Amino acid sequence: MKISHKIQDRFDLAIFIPVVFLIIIGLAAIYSSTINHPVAGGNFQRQLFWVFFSFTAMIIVYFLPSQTFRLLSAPIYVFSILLLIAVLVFGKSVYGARSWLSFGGVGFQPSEFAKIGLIFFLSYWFNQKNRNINNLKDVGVGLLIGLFPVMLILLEPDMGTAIIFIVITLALIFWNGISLFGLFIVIAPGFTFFASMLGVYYFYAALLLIIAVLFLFKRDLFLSAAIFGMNLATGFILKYALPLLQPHQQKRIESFVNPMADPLGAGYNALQARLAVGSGGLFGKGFMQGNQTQLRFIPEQWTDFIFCVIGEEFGFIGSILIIVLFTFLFLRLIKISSNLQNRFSSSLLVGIVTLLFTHFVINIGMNVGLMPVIGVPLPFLSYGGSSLLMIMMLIGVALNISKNKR
Amino acid sequence: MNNSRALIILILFTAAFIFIGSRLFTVQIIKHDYYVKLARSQQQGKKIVKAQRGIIKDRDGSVLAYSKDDITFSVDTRMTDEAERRMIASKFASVFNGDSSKYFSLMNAKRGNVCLAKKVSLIDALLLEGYNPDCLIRDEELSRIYPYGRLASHLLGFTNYEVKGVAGIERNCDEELSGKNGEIYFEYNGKGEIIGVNEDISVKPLNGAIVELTIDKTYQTILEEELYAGIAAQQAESGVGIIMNPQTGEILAMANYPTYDPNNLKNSDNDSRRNRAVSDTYEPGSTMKPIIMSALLDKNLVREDEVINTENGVYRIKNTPIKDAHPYRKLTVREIIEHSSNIGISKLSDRLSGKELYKHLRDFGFGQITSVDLPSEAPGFLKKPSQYSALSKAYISFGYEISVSPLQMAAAYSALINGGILYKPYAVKQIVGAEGNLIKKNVPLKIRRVIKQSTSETIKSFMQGVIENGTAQKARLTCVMAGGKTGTTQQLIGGAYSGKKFNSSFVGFFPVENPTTLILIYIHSPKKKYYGGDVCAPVFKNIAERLIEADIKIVPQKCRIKRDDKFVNQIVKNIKQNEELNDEFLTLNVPDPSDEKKETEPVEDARTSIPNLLEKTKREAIAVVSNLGVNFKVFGTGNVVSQSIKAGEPIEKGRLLILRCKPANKLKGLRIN
Repeated sequence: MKISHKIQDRFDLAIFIPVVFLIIIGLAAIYSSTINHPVAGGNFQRQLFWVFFSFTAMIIVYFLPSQTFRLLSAPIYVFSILLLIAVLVFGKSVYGARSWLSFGGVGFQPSEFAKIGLIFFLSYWFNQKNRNINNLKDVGVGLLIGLFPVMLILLEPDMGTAIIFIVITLALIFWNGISLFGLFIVIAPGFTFFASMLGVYYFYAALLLIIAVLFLFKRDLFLSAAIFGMNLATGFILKYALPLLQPHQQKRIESFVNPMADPLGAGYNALQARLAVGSGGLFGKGFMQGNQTQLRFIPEQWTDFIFCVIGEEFGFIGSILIIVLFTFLFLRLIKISSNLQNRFSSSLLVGIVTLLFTHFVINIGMNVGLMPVIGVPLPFLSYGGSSLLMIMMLIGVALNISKNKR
Repeated sequence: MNNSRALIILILFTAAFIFIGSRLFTVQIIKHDYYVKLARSQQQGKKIVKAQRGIIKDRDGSVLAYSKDDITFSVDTRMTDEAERRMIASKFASVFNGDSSKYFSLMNAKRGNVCLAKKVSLIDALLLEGYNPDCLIRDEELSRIYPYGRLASHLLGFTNYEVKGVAGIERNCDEELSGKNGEIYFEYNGKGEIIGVNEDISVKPLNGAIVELTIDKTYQTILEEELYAGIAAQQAESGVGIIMNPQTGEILAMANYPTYDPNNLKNSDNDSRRNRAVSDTYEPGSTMKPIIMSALLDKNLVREDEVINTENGVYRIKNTPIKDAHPYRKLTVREIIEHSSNIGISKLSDRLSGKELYKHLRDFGFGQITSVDLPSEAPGFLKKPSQYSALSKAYISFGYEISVSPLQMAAAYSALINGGILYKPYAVKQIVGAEGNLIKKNVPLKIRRVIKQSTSETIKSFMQGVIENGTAQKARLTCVMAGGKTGTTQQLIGGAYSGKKFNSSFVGFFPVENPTTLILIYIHSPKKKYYGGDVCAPVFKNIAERLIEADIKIVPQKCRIKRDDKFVNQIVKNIKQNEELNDEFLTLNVPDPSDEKKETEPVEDARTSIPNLLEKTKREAIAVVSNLGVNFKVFGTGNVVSQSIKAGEPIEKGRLLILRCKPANKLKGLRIN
């Protein structure tokens, strides 16, 4: 009894169990969507292999000494940046994005690995001694650490991953104690940029809002003017940034604004995903019974659109179960994080939660028509080796931290 | 410090949870039906599989109408690439001897279904058998074929472009003939390819039923040939013929002129497609007399040998003259029918009350539809006693002031001769489903008894006399005793009775002992002659003799008679004698071969002598006289009341004919039997 109690206490089942459930459901959905597929028929076995491989990696990470993470932070970051540069040179282009590196037939996305590097190195950077997050220089360097890989990823280009990098960077700046004004300065340009994407009137409204907030903070005029100027400038980024995007990504942004305008074009996937989810109803059509899935209306459904397999075949009940499992996992990680004395570990956990949460929101959002289709997989469920491996290693990190929390 | 930030993160999680959860609720629960419908519309395709329309057969199983399957080939160009389109184009070009580039450009013109070959016959379609690229769609189409063309076309009717019956049996039995279309549900995959058929919800078509008519193709052919020949001989405008089994009400044949070919509807107009036998009415004239007579006999109001003063051809009721075509001093009741005396029947009709007359005619089915299984039936017109004028009973008794459809008349005569029972006429024997199940079987339906058996026997013998001794001697058959009655009426044109346009009719039946066949011939506007006995009786005779030849059962051996040459010679001799004999001869009660009276032919007489112009309208009189080449003068307006040269006197050139006219009741123009 005592031993079992001890194991339960040290190996955090509250993290592990939701993860196991999510992976099992994911395997079922991959099975359903690929087993009769002429091309992707072997995907279930491949994913099964990756699941075992990832669990092994998770266990290894779980048993690593707690100091390892701090020591490895900088090398992982530097290595991942090198890989991101390498992929731009040697990478394989898939759907218009040069994001894949190939090692002897096994595909690998450096950007997945770079997520670990970013979380580790940013957590490390902000929790060095003598760091003051509200110091403009320190926060600026933090931003540079985050935005350098973003730039490389945008060159691939992979918009979805870039967004995740930005969100992680912002979340870690937030968690490591930036003041409200500082957070405002960091977030405002992103906000203005997003508004400018929606249209010129949204952009004007965003600028007005920024002026109002600046008045509220009552800082000196020069600083306020500089911040306003910076925001104004971001409005013009779009004009120069949009042509950098691949045509298919530009179309996706357009189709997000009006997905029904071109149901057979860019909005096709979004619409088909919603049809699958919507036709599932309360209880779903049953395992292997979803005709939208079985008749293969959604291309590559087992990757980014795995959620609509669940929505169609297991219905509202199945979909809510996924959301509950994820939310349970997020709450558990945040709870551990906020109780930790170790700032670095706490920051790591928040980085992990942010990564999972962003993936979760964007992916499910694009499955149910809340987000544009920007190619972000659903953690634990989507088919894909490097993504699963990366996430399970991060779960290993979380379990490791949970193990060492006392 | 971190607790407040953790709280912000928690709020963010909660917000995301609620946001996504409510969105899922909207999509999966609230708009579920909408998305199901949308998803199904792209996953499922429905194709109607047309049921084959049923066959119409005659009573012996000859097919009178059937459906032919055509195949239309189309290509779903969404499922093709250019190379495939080229291949299909050259294949179609080789099969249908067409131009390959034509097919190719057709397919390039549109994304979706493109029709390449329309209504290909099954035989031609065989050339494409086994050629089944996924994109090729075969659509079977049905067209209606009437193998005998015009035969019974009015009775059969026709179908519209949707192969839906719009006339005749096609219309009346449309539901049974149509069958039930099937539905095939295809499943499409994400590429729009058909990947299979959903058997669970697909329904096989149920082909239409087989309608078996009471019509006999042989009878119909004979009826049509002889009717058209009779019409052609008279240069008449239109005509109707009906052959009916008087014992059951079965319609054995029904013909109309003008006619049309239902295979080629474009070349006909509505007038030629109308089934006049049921939808047109006419004033029946003297064919009404036996029916009136049956009422008198049935109610014991006359004796068969009673002698009636027929006033030597003119009898006035309330100053309106009623005239006989051939004047007689007196006639027995039997002779009134045989010689078709208007005066005789008028006088006798007075013995019936208006109510009795009305009820009797109503019982015989006049003034109401017969409910035959054919569409567009006309009820005709039957005057109510309250509307009767002083002359109505008299006029009705010889067939004016009443209109009937030919079918009503045939049904009424059937009752008259079959022992007194009115049967509902019918044309559909039975309807058998495509799977052999009997859907409907018609049996003779007795409507009511209208006269006593004995009355029927008496009337039959009267009508036998019409043929043997009376006005319809041209209907006399060589090997069997037949009965019948002629009818001739002036047409009512623009409110007045025309002296130039006539309706001629004859209803006859045989054998007299036990009638198996009743034939009604009605010819509208004959131009050469106009008496029913001249126009229609010979048509009856031709039809009857051919029927007897074609169908041995129609006249049982015991009913067969043999007329020897001596007998025929006797008749000829008697006719000559009759012309010289005095009136006394006509008072003889018992029918005798020597009673033969040849009907005069006034139209031919008119060429050599002055015709009777009395009671003709001024217009008609002028028309007649001007054709004679006589000098004439007309005074007054209305109808001719006197002529200076008597009828029958030879035409002499230079002699002046003076006609005086007076305005008159339109009915005063009536003068034909």
